[in-house]
Amino acid sequence: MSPSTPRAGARWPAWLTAAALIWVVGYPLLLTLLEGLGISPSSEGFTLEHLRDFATRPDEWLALWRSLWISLASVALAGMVGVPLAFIFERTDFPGRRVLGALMALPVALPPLVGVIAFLFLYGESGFLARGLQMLFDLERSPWRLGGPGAILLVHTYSMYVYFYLFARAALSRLDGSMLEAAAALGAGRWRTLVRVVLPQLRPALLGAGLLTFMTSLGSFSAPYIFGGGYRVMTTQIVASKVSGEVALAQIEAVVLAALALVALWAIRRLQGEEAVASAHGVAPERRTIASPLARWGFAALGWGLAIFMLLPHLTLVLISFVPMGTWTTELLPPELGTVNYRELFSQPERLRPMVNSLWMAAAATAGAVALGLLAARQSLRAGGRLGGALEGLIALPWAIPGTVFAIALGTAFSVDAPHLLRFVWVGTPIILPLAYLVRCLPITGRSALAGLRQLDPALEEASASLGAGGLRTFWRVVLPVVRPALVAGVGLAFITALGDFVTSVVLYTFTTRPISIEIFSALRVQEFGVAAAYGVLLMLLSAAAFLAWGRGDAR
Amino acid sequence: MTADPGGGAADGAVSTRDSFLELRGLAKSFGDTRVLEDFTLGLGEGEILALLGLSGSGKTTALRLLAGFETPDEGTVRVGGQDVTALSPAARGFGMVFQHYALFPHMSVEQNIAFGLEAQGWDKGRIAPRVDEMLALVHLEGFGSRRVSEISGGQQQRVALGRALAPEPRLLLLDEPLSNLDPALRERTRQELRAAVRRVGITTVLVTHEQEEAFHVGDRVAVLNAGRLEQVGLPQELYRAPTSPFVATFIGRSGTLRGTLEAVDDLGAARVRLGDALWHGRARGPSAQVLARGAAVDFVVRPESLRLTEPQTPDALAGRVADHRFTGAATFAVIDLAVGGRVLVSSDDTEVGAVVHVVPALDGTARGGTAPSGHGPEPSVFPAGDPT
Repeated sequence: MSPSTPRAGARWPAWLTAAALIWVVGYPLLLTLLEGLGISPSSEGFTLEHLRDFATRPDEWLALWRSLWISLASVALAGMVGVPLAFIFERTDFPGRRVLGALMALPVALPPLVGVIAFLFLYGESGFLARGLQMLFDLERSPWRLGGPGAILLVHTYSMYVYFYLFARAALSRLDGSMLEAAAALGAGRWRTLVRVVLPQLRPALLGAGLLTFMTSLGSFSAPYIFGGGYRVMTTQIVASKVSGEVALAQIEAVVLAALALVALWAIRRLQGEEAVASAHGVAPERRTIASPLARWGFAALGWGLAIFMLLPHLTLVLISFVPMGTWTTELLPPELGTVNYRELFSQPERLRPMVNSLWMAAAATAGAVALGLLAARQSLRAGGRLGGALEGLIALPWAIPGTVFAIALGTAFSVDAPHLLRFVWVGTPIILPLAYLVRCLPITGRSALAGLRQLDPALEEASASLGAGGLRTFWRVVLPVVRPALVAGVGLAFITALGDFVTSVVLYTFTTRPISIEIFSALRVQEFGVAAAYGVLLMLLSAAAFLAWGRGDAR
Repeated sequence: MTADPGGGAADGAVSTRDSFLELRGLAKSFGDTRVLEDFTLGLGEGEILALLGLSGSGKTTALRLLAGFETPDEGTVRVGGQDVTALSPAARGFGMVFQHYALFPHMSVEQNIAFGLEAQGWDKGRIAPRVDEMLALVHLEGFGSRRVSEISGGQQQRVALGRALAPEPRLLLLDEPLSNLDPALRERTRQELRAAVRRVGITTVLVTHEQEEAFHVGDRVAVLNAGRLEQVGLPQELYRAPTSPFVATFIGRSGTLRGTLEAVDDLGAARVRLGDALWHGRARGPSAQVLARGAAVDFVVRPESLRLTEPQTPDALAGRVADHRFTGAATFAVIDLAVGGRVLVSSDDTEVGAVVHVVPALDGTARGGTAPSGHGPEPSVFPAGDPT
């Protein structure tokens, strides 16, 4: 007799999965709160001292306020760039629209740190642009300093407009063309139709993009860390406290930032409320083909111009990576180009090591996140009800909590040897970074697994069971192949996220486990720009490869 | 009915008519809703039973309990003498064709059919010939390597049947297997389905909401209503001798009149007063015993059991033609009777609004009819229920 399939009603696997998720997601956060309040085996006992510290220091409140307003401003700016772009690329037609439209989404696939250093090389005070202006007008010094909130917002806008762009494009493509025709038939002009019909239909998409931008900004670390200087936001404040040894304060700061993130999430979700999402019947409206040749080429030029502008930082990065160290001083263009930086990366074991580290840690984290995400998603859908909802919430939680917070939390939980409390000393070992990446990737893989499993016709599993297949065979032969396309999308994105991670790495790395991002950062510090750029380009290429694999998986 | 000649896997268990598959006292609730109650039914080996009911009648739940996808709150399922109530679907060895076929989209036609054979550990060497055999059975020779998305709906339905039959199941379950097909295709596919199942000789339960499908494919038909089994019988029995008001009105066309019971004998032969007229009918089913003289009753009559007549005919009832209903083979006059109630009578020359008279026209089995000739089944008499 074949092994029996689990009958509906067996709930222990769901509980077990929930316990595993709580252990890596919820438990570290709880321990962080407790230790911030002095409740831990190693400390003196309950104390509000660190909390009082936090509350009475003006710079803490300032950092909190800065995090908040920068996030709000990032949402506004990203929306102002992304939504018009979406209209241009979705509602009009001109030569090159498809390719450019895809290129515009590229920044989302690049690790934040790579974007930041690319910006530095292009717009920084000794970057291309400043250098050019300096020579053009024969200036003594660089015409500007790239730093402070302006620089942070510039980088945020540049990397986060993509959320608005993609969400708004998707919503526009789902728009029912007959609705526009109905508005026109009722006498509404183009403007009225836009304001009264089109924009309300985009509302859910825009709120979704706004939420994503806000949460990403709130957790953003690379840009404020590199451009902020003394201008501290919460994420950099936490790392500064940790580095200066004020661990309990860092824990309190992490808890406060996590609370802010959860409150923001809750508020925006409330705003989204029960959206009257029009089910998309009918077909999307025709794109407006620009008739006049002049306007057509005008649009094409605009599109190409924008795309080049968006790609310029990365092109700069590629250029810098070919500049041998110390050869480029005052000239506008580098006098000498060569592959010496790349040769150095691949010939010196110490330079090669971060790449090997990043690759294996990202691969291990992705594999773990896929397995755990798939398990949790399946148990969530099977259990349903409150338990299912709780599992889904646990999968999504690391998405809402800034990476810095998780780094502090995991560092707190796994630096104590107390096996009976399920705590082990993993900080300083090769376990902690892959674990941190895994937790950060869990929402990505879990969400794709949920999407795939939701589309899975339950009758397929029943058919398999009725043909005598056991649970395991059904899972391998039927469930997995059917959800694979959805899963592949998550795998690519999770791998990119883990590979380019800087925010958790900077808190938890050791010399032997340092990933590429840490190596880029230390190369910048010692002015080895060519090496930093070469690492950046490699990271970019690896990410692009994963992005392409993801896109192909999606299309299937 | 003949016993299974070749296929099937009865394991030599002793089985007589009505005892190969035994469902006893099955009950199932979802939350507070009782969807199936005291479901008891037996099938002989090789028999095809159609489970007929409206949506929400519990027929799908009954099938899922049988397949093992749901666990009954009460009752047992026995096959060939073995109690399978606690077995998982995989362990039951039943074949099932799903409403939307549930073909595995990532596999070819062949791989779909071979899936159950591999799962049940067939020898590699036996799998390919069996797949070919199944492809031939469902007339899909040469389609083996196609992807299931590349074939038509009717072909998909046949693949689903081939896949279900391939591992030689002891019971075949069909969940609305034709409901996804165009009406034009449905008739032909129904013929093929019936022929294939007959050829294999497997005991089969078909769930459907289509009377015609149930009558054509099923040897016997079980009518489910609101979670209860109303009647099990040959199609003709259900039509001519319904034992419940639901079956009388659900199966075929009928009209219902409210009257008073004048007399009823031990065999159920009843006289019912309808205004000034006395019409004959028969009390059937469990309620027949409780009927007493003077009781209010519902008199359910088929169109072919009535005919138009002259006003002066004894026991004729007057009415007005409200509408005509053209069905192709016949045209019915819809008549609102003066005594209340609406009946259908075969007629194509009455005018809407005209006053007409109707009397029963019963065939030889009806006793003491008021009409000298006729061909309709004897009307049914039930205790008066809610007016419908």
